Amino acid sequence: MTKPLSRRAVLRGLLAGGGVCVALPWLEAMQASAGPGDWPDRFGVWFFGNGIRPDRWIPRGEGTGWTPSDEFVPLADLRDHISPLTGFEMKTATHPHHSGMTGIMTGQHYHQLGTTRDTIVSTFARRSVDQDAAAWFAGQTALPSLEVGVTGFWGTDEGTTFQHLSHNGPNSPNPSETDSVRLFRRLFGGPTSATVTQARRSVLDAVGDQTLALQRRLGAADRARMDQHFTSIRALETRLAAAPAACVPGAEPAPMLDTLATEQIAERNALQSELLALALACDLTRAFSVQFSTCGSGVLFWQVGARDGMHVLCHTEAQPQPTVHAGVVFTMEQLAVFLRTLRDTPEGDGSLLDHSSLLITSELSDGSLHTNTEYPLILAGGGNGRLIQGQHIRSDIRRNTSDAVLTALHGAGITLPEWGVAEGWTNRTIGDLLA
Amino acid sequence: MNCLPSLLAALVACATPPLGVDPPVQPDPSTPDPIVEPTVPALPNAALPRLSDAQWRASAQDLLAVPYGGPLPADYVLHGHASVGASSISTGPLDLEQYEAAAWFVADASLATPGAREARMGCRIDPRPEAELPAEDALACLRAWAADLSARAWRRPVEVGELDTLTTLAAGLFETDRGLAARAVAAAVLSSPHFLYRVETGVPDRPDAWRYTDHEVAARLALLLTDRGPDAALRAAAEEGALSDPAQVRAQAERLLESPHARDALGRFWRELFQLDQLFTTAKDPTLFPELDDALRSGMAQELERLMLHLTLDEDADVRSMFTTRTTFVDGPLAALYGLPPVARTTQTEVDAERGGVLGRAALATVFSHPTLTSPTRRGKLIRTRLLCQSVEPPPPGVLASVDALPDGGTLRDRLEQHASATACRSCHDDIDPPGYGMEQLDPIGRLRTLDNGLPIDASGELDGAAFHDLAGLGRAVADHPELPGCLALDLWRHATGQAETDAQLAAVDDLATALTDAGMRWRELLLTLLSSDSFLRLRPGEVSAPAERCDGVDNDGDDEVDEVVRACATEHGPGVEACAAGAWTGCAPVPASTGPLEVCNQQDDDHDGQIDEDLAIALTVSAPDELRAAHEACDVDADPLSGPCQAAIHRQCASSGCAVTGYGPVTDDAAFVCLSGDRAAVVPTTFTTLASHHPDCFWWEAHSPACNAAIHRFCASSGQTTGFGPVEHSGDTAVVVCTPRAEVIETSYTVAATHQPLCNGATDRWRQPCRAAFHDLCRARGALTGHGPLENSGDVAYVACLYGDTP
Repeated sequence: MTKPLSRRAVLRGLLAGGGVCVALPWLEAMQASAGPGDWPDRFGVWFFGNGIRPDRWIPRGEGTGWTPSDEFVPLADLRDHISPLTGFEMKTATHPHHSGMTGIMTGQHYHQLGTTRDTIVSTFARRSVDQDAAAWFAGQTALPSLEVGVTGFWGTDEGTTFQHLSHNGPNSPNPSETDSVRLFRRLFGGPTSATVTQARRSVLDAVGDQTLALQRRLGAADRARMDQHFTSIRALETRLAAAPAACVPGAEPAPMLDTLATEQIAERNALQSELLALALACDLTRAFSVQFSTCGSGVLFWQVGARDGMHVLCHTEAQPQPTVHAGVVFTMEQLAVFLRTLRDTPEGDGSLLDHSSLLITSELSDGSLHTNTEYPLILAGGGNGRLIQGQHIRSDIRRNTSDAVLTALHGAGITLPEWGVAEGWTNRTIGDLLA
Repeated sequence: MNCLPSLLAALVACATPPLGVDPPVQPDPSTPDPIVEPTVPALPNAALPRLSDAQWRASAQDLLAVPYGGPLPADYVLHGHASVGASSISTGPLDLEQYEAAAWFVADASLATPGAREARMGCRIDPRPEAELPAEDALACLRAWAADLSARAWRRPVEVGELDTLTTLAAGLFETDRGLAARAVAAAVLSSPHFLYRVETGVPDRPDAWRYTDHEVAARLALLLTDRGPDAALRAAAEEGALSDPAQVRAQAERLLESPHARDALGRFWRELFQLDQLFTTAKDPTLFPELDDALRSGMAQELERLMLHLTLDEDADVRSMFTTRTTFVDGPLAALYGLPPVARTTQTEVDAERGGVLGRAALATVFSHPTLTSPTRRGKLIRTRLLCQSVEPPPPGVLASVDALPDGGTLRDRLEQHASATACRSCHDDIDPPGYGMEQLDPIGRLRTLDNGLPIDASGELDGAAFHDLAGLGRAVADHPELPGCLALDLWRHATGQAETDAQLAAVDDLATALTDAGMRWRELLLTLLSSDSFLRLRPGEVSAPAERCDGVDNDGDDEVDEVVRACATEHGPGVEACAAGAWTGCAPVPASTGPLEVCNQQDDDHDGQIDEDLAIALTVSAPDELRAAHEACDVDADPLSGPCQAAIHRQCASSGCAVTGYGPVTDDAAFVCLSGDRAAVVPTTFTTLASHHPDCFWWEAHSPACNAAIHRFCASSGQTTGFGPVEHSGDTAVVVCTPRAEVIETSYTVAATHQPLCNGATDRWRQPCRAAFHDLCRARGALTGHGPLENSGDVAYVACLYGDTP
């Protein structure tokens, strides 16, 4: 039996600290035969812009005996599900924000599109790590990947690096959806009728053929762009061919009418987290990313008394930057809401969080100095038993941040032998974290 | 090191280059320059720009007459221009989903009903109750329409194979749902990469420089100047090969500049140059600036856009006057912000006010400042990078780029000057901030002010040797800056070509700057010069030259087929399709006569019978159940066609199409209903209280009943309007009824009615569906077009209203 899930009920459940109740027929059916490790693997990135305050970030104590620092306090109840990694260094750092963003997401230097009149213009040189995961999981779900955003500030620098987290390649971003209504409709606003769905598939089929024919008349660069276009057509064809989601969500969320100056960040974060958890529980996708705020984001954390955007604050507030710190703590509170939503969504013998491997990070360490040492890194989730969480891993040798990324991939069963390019290259995982 | 590189060197010269970026290669002075043969200026490469958001919407509306307000992929601004990013951006899965949804939305909305389909196609694919339409005839109509739609949407001749694909797509759906087949064709046309991208490859007419084909030039010109594909005149010019002549291109550009669409398209150029869209994403402290709502932000953006269009197009003035003009356009909120006398709230009024040109207007002051503070740095960067095309450097990594608060206050300028005194920052801030100081007279939302933090403002500064004392002086310094013409030329070059210039291409930009100066700094002349120059009409020889096939006896696209194109055409009997052979069109093959257009209410002779709008006062119409449900969500026409919601749905469906103002029905077994024009029917709002005064048993909870029929008949008759039907809408005591003053009221009987519909025998039915059909048929047997009733009935007697095409 399919039970409608009311958004209000879910929110109430969350606020009361209760679990998200998802009643799914296929899950019930699956549960009878499923054993440990039979649950889908998921890989996700949770990204926030402008880094942290290193002096208030690094937890005390190492291994399992760590105690949360000021900026980890909001995550205290999730202690056993997360592992802070500190002392790591971004090896591809050359330019503020741009290199950290591309370095952490691709393990590679950014692809420079030129020098504009006041900064550089850059994009990703290759697809981002969430798309590495999407390629690994290809064909298993209706959506190859899902990109979710929370805050509305749009990056200031030109090029895709400042705007987008997920990329298929250079100049080929996957925009993050910040509008909960649109996200809901994309996930659950199912097809109208079998006849119309068939017509849509026929149209895509014709358009796909035309796209391939056009490719032959183009130069190399545009052939590559048409290749992406064709891949996207195929992704939609796959989606239309897939059986409709076996779960029925509750009512469509009400539109939020906030402005950038008064963004309802906590409310939207809770809603987006919940929709993402539903998408995962319904197995609509297994690779995802959450762009809480963009690289170099100017998000206004008025909730903690900020009167300037985060990026500007990082450059204008007097040391020790109490408002910046409060903004980081606020961000960690939102991360905690997301992680709890996954933790409190039961799936078989555990939860969505137990069956996921998450990389939580930013594009630099200290926003006022644009530093790339003491890089903010958290791994979270049990990875279907592959990850041993609850440890503070401290590196005294400035380990490559790519080691953390590769470990997170392995945690989701994505056993790539290596990841990254040149200085960002690695074939090493963090042994203590992998079971 | 000098922080002011000359524009045309276009090299970063400020401070040190950022790490990881190769320093510019300096030519070795010991080796002489190689001798280069004179050649055309370096040209842009072939590109494949994706339609901008505005271009998609305008084009779709142009093609299918439906505005689209839903989401589309975001424009990608590179080097200051969305047109540059459009040639780089790829279409990921989410983007593609949005394009697909938008295409279907427009297709569905445009082709929802048989009437709408006929109006768009000029021929018919849907059968009428009285006229069957064989599938192959209907497909011929759809094919002729698809030929026209695709050629316009794809901005080039269409190949016969492409039209076959569209026809096959339709044929596969035709048996299920002819409307869906038409909508699928429209969705396929709008989902095509040939619509979504501007496909252009050029032709190699010279070894050193190719030229865009005539159709490519037409598309470039039309999209740039009107946001949509070429209009009929431009298509004809391309077809004739006229656009190989730059003078003709210029003439077409001048013509398009007169179009209202050109104001939208070029207005956006200025919005982009001034980054006005950031007005809506710039957060300001709501406690300090509570008046800054979306209406005020919009007024700010529109002021600058309107002012620039006024100066450049309407006045064709010296563009430098933008920095000194007193002319402004304000709506209510902006006038209040400026402290001007009140004007109309939502329309822009031209006002004379001393605001120091564009730099003194609220928009730039607001975008280029912080949520609580102004920003001489951001404002200085605006002047240097956006208006003068100079380069400045970002703070290098590892430098503490922060303005610590001064313990005892001071103006922002005091604090910045202290910051700039730090050695690492000095070289850049000494250049960036001083021009920005000229705008310190404007607060973070653009109000004039004299104090900052309680202290008098010092708005003096310096711009590359020109000292100024205030905002007006800053405007004059920018207007007189020697790099301004080059920067205006460069921005327009980027915008129009959709590319970032290479060093070699700067020579062409230089020529444009000279042309601008020679033309008395008239920007319109700069635009026309550019559009008829090699920079816009020619391209660098590419990897592939496979332009679209055209009807010219040549294998243009290199597929070993010659002239495999078709085009839409028209004959006196309706639209058709025409093939090409040996470089000539072979004559129009019209669609079969059975699909010929029916007369529609437009003061034209649509069906080519010599009469205008004949028989249109009364039209028999069929709508699919889901179309009626779209008109009123509670109408289930299969379950209960006489229900209030279905009567309302029929009324609304009629009122939304053709000549009609209302309608009634169904009058046949296949649910056809009758639409009536305004000269046959008067829609009259009234109340059930009034109706009950004419017949006491007409209640709102039983609004469709013999008693209400009688009440409406008497109500209309009492005002001299003969008779009527309804209610077509009702809610509470309110009812909307329809009087039919030109009807003929006849007395008949259920005995006679039963000869038309056996169930309408006075016993089984007296007024429901069988009798509606019977009275309709009964009137038609008398030579009328339709009829409704019973108006009154008693025993075997029934009164019926018959409606005639011409007054009997």
